[in-house]
Amino acid sequence: MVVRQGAVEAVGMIARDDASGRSARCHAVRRRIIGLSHAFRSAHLGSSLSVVEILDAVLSASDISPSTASARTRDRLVFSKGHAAMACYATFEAHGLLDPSLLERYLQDDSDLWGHVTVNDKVPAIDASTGSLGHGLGLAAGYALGYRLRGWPGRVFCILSDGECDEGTTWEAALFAGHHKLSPLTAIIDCNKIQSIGATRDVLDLEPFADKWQAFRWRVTRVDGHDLDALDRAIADRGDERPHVVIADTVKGKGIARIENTVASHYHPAKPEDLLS
Amino acid sequence: MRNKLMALIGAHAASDPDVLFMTGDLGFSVVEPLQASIGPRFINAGVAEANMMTMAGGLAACGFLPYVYTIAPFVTARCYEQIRNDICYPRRRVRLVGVGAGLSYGSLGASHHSLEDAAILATLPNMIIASPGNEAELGLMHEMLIAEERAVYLRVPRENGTAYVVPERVTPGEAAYEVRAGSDIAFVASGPSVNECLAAAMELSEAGVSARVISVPLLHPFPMVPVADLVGSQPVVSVFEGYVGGPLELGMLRLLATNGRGNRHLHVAVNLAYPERCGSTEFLRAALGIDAKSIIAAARRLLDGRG
Repeated sequence: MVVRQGAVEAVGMIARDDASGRSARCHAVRRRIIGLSHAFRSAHLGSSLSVVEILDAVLSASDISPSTASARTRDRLVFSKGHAAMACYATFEAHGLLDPSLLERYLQDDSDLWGHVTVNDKVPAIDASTGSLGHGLGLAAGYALGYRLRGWPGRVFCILSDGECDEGTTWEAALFAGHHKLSPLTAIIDCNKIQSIGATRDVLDLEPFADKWQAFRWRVTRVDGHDLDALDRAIADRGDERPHVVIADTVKGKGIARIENTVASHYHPAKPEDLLS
Repeated sequence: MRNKLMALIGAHAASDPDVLFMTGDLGFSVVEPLQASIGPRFINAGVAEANMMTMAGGLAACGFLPYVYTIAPFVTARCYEQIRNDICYPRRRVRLVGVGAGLSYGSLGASHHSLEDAAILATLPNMIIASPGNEAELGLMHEMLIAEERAVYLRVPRENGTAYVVPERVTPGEAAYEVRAGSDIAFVASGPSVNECLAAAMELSEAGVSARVISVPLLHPFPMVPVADLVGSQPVVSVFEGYVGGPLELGMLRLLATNGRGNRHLHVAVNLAYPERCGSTEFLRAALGIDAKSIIAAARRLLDGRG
């Protein structure tokens, strides 16, 4: 396959953590995602664009960094919506956790990174292989229980899609974590309200969503999932002994007006006119 | 067999602080002493086996060695994808313990039988499957696999098994051995079927037929070399308490195709059908054609040149 010129520009590490720096970083990540989708004909564009600020907020709140990436007791991030791999890779790249060269031949034959997030020796910050939905929260619960048993102070983050809350295993894990008061665990749900082939409210309505988590003995915060300040505050709030879920309301396809809030954004790659400046 | 199993796990947990025990809310009257002795390392994950398996993957990633215990179909078929994605793919060191292998739970019905478990897990990379036929063999397999880096499925029958003698120590490559000598025909079996083969061999000996019984307590990867050495050129009946097409049959067919010496061979296993009539384990073994009588019938066919 021919790699289109100009589409594989790396983000490069953007280490500025002030508000404008982070906003610029999210813009660069979004630009990178669109470039990757366009260059390599990748699907899952809409799901990737909705989760950019969530990913940045979690990495910013965590101790995951280039120097700690291989450390056993660092914070963990289970990226359960593994289909939004472009967002994960681009955000990791912007945080210095992924070598930009790994994305030069994204999805090409004999390359390193799969289309669903996969554990990789070259990217030690990736904590879990995902892609089949409904596994992430259980893995994170396992990590959180393990951290408690070990006496390690680290936090365990899990980023889920709203669609994967159709999966029974998500609720099995929620029940376990709530019952066992797995306070190291913070789940952030990218609530973009569109699942694979339909609107969540039409396929299997999750509302009242916050009430469900509360009923499972979780502390719930609901925020605008594109508002970095709101995400930061929610994620920083350790609250009480319960696990914490942040329901982050987002826009599927955020940043490309023509695809925002569309089912098709799950499938169609970016077009040349979508490339951000 | 379950009490022996719990004693082995208890001893392992006492010597290794990384050992965890997870149960899908089962084990009444056998798990309580372990629960009392290991405290927070005993985790009842509730009636939620799929999540239990995934959590075991997370716990193994923290350096723990979880035993994941429940009835065989619930620790295999119920959570196949969790084993595939969260244990085998990331190479997590986890011990799946399925009690009630094969037809152990006889009259409880097909939901509790486990006839496909070994076959489906044998399709997975980084998985090793042990299938002991008596308590001594359970101990032997447990000891052999204690440091094993792959995921292990321990397929444990409910019955204690007959008291055949097993070696003091084996390696995975050697895990097949003679448990009864014989010169006319070889029975190759795993798990509870070893006991059926021994019963069949005893009955045949009264009729003047000398049957050797070879136990293969490691189903996967199949220990090709010792089995080939042991069967030599004898006619072979292989027997497994599971559906046809399982790892024992596959191992035998591969062995005979590549290293066979023209051995005649029949495999005795459960055809792809569900039992129609309720009954005990013994009743079902007979009804499904995997009991000692069925093994004798297969041996007769081979020895009479009809097989």
